[in-house]
Amino acid sequence: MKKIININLSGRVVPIEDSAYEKLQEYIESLRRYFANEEGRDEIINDIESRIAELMSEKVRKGADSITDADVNEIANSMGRPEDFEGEEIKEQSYASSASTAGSSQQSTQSQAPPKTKRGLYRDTSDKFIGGVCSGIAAYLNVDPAIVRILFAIITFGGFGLGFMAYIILWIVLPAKDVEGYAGKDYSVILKAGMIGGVCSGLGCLF
Amino acid sequence: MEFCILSIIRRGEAYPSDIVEEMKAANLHILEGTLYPLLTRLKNAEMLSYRWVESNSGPPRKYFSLTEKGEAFYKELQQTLARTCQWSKCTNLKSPTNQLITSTTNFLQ
Repeated sequence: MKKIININLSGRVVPIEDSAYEKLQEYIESLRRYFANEEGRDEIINDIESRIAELMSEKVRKGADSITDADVNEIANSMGRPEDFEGEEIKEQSYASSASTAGSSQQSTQSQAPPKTKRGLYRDTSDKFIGGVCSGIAAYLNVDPAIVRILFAIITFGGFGLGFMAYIILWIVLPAKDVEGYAGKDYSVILKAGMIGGVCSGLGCLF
Repeated sequence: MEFCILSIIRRGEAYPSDIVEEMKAANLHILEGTLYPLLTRLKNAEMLSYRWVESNSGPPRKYFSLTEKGEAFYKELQQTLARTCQWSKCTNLKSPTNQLITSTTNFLQ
């Protein structure tokens, strides 16, 4: 036996079992936490809520007496849970960065929030020329890896092998970390080629 | 992703769940929960505008359309994609990005 309550979700009255209601609340709360740093979070949550309400009233119209736990689960799965977004965001960001390194569209694609990676010094094995030391340092200092690479090159050529020694030591000492995770390999190829292409198109802009 | 969304909206006003359906039909899967933040971001960047459309059941729905700025951004993205496409010649189908580009290109035809 289950209690059924009526809730008002974005202007729609929906009959829902009380356990399903708790599930729904939990789900929306998890979304709210996930989007906490997003600029238009209230709007996003409102949009999602009204979409949920729409899906629910569709179910009721089709003859369901009330919304059950299973219905809430189904809706949450189709909308996506915060865990699912993580993967999609990574895909999206690598896609955006490959687009921006490939040449144009400087302003728009970069307006997105920077990828959230844990701070700490490491070697970035997903973006490397030799050992990923430079890109790891760049990620730590939050600057472009190219700057660190150029500095390292200057130190190496001007510093009687000092830079070379430092690089080898860092290579050994720093832990490796594949920042792009499962998608890393494929994207790194794209990114690198984009980098080469980006240099050419950047020079092309001068003439 | 943005490109696909923009190209769908470009053809006419669109409702978010219709966008998801269209993308699914083109073999591009996106979660509605990912789409809403993207739309809001694009809207805040003045690429999109929306209007409320009364629906016959329940509260009005939000329909999105492209602004002039969005149109310009779309063209820019299109050029970038074309260049990336040229570079990769769209042959390496194993790469997810290429797959996305190829299916977008197919989708646009």
